[in-house]
Amino acid sequence: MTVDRERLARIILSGINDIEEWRLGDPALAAAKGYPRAFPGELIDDWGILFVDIVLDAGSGKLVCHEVNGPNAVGSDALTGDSTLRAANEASHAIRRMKELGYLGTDGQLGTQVVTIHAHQHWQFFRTGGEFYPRVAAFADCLADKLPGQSLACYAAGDALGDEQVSVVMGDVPAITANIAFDAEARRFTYRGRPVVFMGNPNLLSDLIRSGKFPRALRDSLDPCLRILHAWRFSGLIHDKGQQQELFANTAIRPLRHFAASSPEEAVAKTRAMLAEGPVVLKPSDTSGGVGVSVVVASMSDDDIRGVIDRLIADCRRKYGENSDAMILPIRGFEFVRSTGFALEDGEHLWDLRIAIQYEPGRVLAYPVTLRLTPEAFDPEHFHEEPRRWISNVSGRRETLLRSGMDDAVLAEVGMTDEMIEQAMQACARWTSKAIDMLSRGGGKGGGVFEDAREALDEPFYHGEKFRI
Amino acid sequence: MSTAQPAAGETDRRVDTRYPVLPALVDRWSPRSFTDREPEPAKLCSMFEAARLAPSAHNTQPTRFLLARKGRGDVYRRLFDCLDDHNQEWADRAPVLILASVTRRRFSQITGEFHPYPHCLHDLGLAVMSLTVQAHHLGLHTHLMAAFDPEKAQEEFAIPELFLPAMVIAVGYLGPSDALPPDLREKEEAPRTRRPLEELVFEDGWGEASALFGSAETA
Repeated sequence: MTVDRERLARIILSGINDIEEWRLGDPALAAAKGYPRAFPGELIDDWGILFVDIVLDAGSGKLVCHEVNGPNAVGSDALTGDSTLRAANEASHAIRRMKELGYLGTDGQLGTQVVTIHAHQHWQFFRTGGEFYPRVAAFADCLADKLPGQSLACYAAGDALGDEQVSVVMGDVPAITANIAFDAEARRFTYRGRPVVFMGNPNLLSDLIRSGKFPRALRDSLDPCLRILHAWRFSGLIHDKGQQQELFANTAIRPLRHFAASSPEEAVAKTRAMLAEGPVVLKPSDTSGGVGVSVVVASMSDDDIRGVIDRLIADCRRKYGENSDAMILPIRGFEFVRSTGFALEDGEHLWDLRIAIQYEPGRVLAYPVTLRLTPEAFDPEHFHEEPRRWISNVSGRRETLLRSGMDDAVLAEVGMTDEMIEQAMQACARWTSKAIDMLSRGGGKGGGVFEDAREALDEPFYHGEKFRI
Repeated sequence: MSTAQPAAGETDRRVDTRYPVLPALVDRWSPRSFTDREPEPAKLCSMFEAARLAPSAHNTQPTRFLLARKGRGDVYRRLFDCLDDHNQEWADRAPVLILASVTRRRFSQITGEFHPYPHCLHDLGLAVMSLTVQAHHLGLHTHLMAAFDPEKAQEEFAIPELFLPAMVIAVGYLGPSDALPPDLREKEEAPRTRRPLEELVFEDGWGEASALFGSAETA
């Protein structure tokens, strides 16, 4: 597909209410600002992309993070108007997996027909086709360049596959899941009987778990079979929003106070305790697109809080089906952070700034994508009654509520300086290395690795001079 | 008191031992002669699995291996070219070479920064020994080589600076010593020597041989 045809497709999609982050992309501005910024990531030995949603706390003036999202998230096109950088990262990942699974020989020939899978949100929630389809096309082009002489074809999830060597399949999560099988003995995924070498959306895994096709224990133990997922090592962490906060310790981003509750009753009790220090945001575990996210305030009774939690569970069931209960728990609570305001005609709107973290062996590429405004102005007295006053997630957002994360005027309006952006990107890069380290060696709070008080004091655990010879 | 006998046709390089020891430790030695027989992939997998299980400070897991198998691409030749002249005299008899490397610095989960890691070579050694013992348990032999050019290996394989190429390991099935040139054959057949335990283990004071080995209870 040519650039013009991609643009035409995007314009058509925007007519059916697609989110137009691609319109914010500006290659010249990105280059002038030095985006993407490269940070060293010596521990990093793989490819992936994450999206970190940060805000500037109006109360403390500190940066905080709402959550870190996996490759199911979007926004990478708001840098240059397309996602070719991300697509190249995905293609490198796919090539590496083809080799390690034994399908791609040292002669560059594929010995087996393989499949790459690109899943988007459930159709009723899907509003990012303008980013998704051109990215899959760019992925296919990039993969074809890396596999000279190998045939490649693109398909929708409902299509039968042809006789090509590489089938690039795209569709919404349920349609894709319906055609995926997992061989528990060989620990391999297949799509319509062919081995899968790339999966671009971790929500597929959640859906496979919900549908009983994949054991949750393998995800939780980071089984090597997950390596076909883009950013595979984060498969569990992107749903563990509490652990995400712990990893921001000793960065420029202040970790949020939080709790995890394994039952609605426990969630009520822990919420009540946290309310002593301010409003609380409640989130289910394995969801995306802001489904079920709720806020409670101190004036609410325990029965009111329980009602909010029941609605949260009902929201998840509505989107994911009755089998979703095991994925909703634990319910997590976080301190509510009021961002600085962005003035619109109807008043001050809350916002968050999404930062893309694209990692590859040895380094992290970081760039701000979009500043996302809440649909309605903030009302300190009654904000908890209407999510549109405090939540700025992708689903259900008007174009005018998206602003470029590279726009100096926009950033100035919310008090974000160049220095803060730099600090935020650096913090996100450090978070990525810390997360990979934690996940690969059982570190972190509650992990199996002992880190003693001396290390906590930032002293080298081993004195360099101890073994001078 | 040795606990294992050499297989028919194998060079007897066992060191006499006074106490029972795992057969793989008694029988392990570092030959220079290997047959052409390729180690089975499953055996190589087991060797790396054994290395993976080795302990390391803070579970840092600092070791990375580069596997070079004869007849598969040009990695074997390129790694062989990193060996020094003396090792090149015999090492191409081994069908497998392995470059063992280790992280020079240790990442702190708490600070999010790298810190000195003076134990790194120790932790590498633990992993390599596990690999070696597993190899011998599976009927393979190994020869560890420190004499190679680590800077050349670093550049040749684009190994990130964080990793120190520290050792090359030759792996294969034991070959006949008479396949070697005379000077190497002499080394191959020379007896293995080890200091007596009394010179290695002290008790009551540094340099004072432990009474452990002279007691009637352990004699």
